[in-house]
Amino acid sequence: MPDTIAAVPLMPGLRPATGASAPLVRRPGQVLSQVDLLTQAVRLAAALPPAPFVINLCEDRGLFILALCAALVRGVQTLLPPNRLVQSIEEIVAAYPGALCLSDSPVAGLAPPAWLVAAPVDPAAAQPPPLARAPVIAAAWEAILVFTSGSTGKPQPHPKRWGDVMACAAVAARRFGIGPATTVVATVPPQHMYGLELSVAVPLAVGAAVDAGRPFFPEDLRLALARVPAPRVLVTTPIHLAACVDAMGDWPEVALVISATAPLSGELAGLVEERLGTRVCEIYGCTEAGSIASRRTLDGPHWQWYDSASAAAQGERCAVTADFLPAPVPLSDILKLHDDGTFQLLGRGSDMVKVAGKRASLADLNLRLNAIPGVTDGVFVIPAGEAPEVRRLAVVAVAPGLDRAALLAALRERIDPCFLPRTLVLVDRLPRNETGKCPRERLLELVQARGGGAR
Amino acid sequence: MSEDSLLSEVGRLIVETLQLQDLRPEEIDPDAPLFGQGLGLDSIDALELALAVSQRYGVTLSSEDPALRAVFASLRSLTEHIRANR
Repeated sequence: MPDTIAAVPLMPGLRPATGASAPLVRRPGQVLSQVDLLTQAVRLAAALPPAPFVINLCEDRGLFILALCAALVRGVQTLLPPNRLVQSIEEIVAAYPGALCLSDSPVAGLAPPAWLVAAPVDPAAAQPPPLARAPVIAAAWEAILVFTSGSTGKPQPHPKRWGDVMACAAVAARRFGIGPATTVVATVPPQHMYGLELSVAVPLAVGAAVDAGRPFFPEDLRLALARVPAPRVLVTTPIHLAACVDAMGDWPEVALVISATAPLSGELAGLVEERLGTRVCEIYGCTEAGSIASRRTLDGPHWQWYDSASAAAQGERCAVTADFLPAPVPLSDILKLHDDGTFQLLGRGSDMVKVAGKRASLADLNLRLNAIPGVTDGVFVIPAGEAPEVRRLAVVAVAPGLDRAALLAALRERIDPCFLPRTLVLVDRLPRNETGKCPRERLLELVQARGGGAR
Repeated sequence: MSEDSLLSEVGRLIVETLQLQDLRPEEIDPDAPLFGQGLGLDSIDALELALAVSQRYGVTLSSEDPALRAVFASLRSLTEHIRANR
């Protein structure tokens, strides 16, 4: 983003003439217009207690957007936790004292100050005065901090400037042909970078509408798509697509399917294109940089950078620069850069693992495992044969006095559920060698022996 | 099909579909929770299980069904839902 731009609208996609009727959030039986949402956001901003930060835990996408816009109007940073574990939220509150949690449903076990966000009882009844002017936001202000689990055992913040968020969203919308007439239906949470960009930022930036729900089962998805008008864009992941391809029922017309968080096989992309009569594209990105490239899966393994994005080699790795990034961002994946400006994905940096589309640092997982009282030594293991995407992790641990159930329960409080080990082996000693490392072959032997070798 | 044999059939479906290596179907307590505690399944498992149930028994699961939580509460409740809707 050029440094000359000082301010950016909170909602660049606001259509001044028709904003009162331009749909922004759709839910069964109700359409919330752009102006309605802005009015509600201004009201909520005034009603919130003073707080230096806001943690946005809303699961309803419409209420998430409302809470985010209220924080923007208020000039307060929004913090987005890496998962819904109480421990993660408390770690963030400890680092950002006074943070106010905004949620649309009570979070069990959560101690920090919390405020329940609810839709106004009758949005149509109280006719608000028209907004004096559409809110503007300082472009260089780090309005949102997206947290990953990091690699140090503590959540790591990734600040996003509002101008960059809107600029990248505009670039993405152009790439995918998303405009004011489009409705986005997403299965991914708005707190994660991908959901934040495609289901929150893009609608705000270009005036598209978004479905307020988070459909889960294939039937939910089918119904959610059918309830909104065409053109429809589905924002989802390979896991949901695999489930939908075999699902029964008549699927409505979908203009485009966008997939991210894990590699999508050409085979599955082909089945989705055929079953839904659509095109399937993928996004490549990471929390650090946001989304930066895309491809139509069936066109082959070459990715196209978003407009203004490019990468430069840094040893074996590379760093990406773009107009919508404040500085070059090193990537932990291994890319092969081609002369024609495209690139291929070769692999992942060795510390990072992805399970079901969620990224974790093995170093971070190991730190959390070893922080459990009663665990004297432990290590996460990627089981053999788990390629290209890891289905489940395994753990080998020394934990005298703990049984498997107790250790699993302790892990369940500390890490995202998808990283919980399917095979958990308790041993007297880890097979460490002279340098203190555990040879992978020895760990695999232990994992396979416990698993009974059956697969 | 006798009550017991549908129960074990669904138990086998769970173990096979989700590749629960450490578990034999007969070891699943029919009344223990499937998700969170008990078997400790998560949302990804729920998706895969819903798909397997749909393909095997023609029973579709949806979050709009108010009884969904109850359906997935245990092996027994899932079996009963399948039996009632197949």
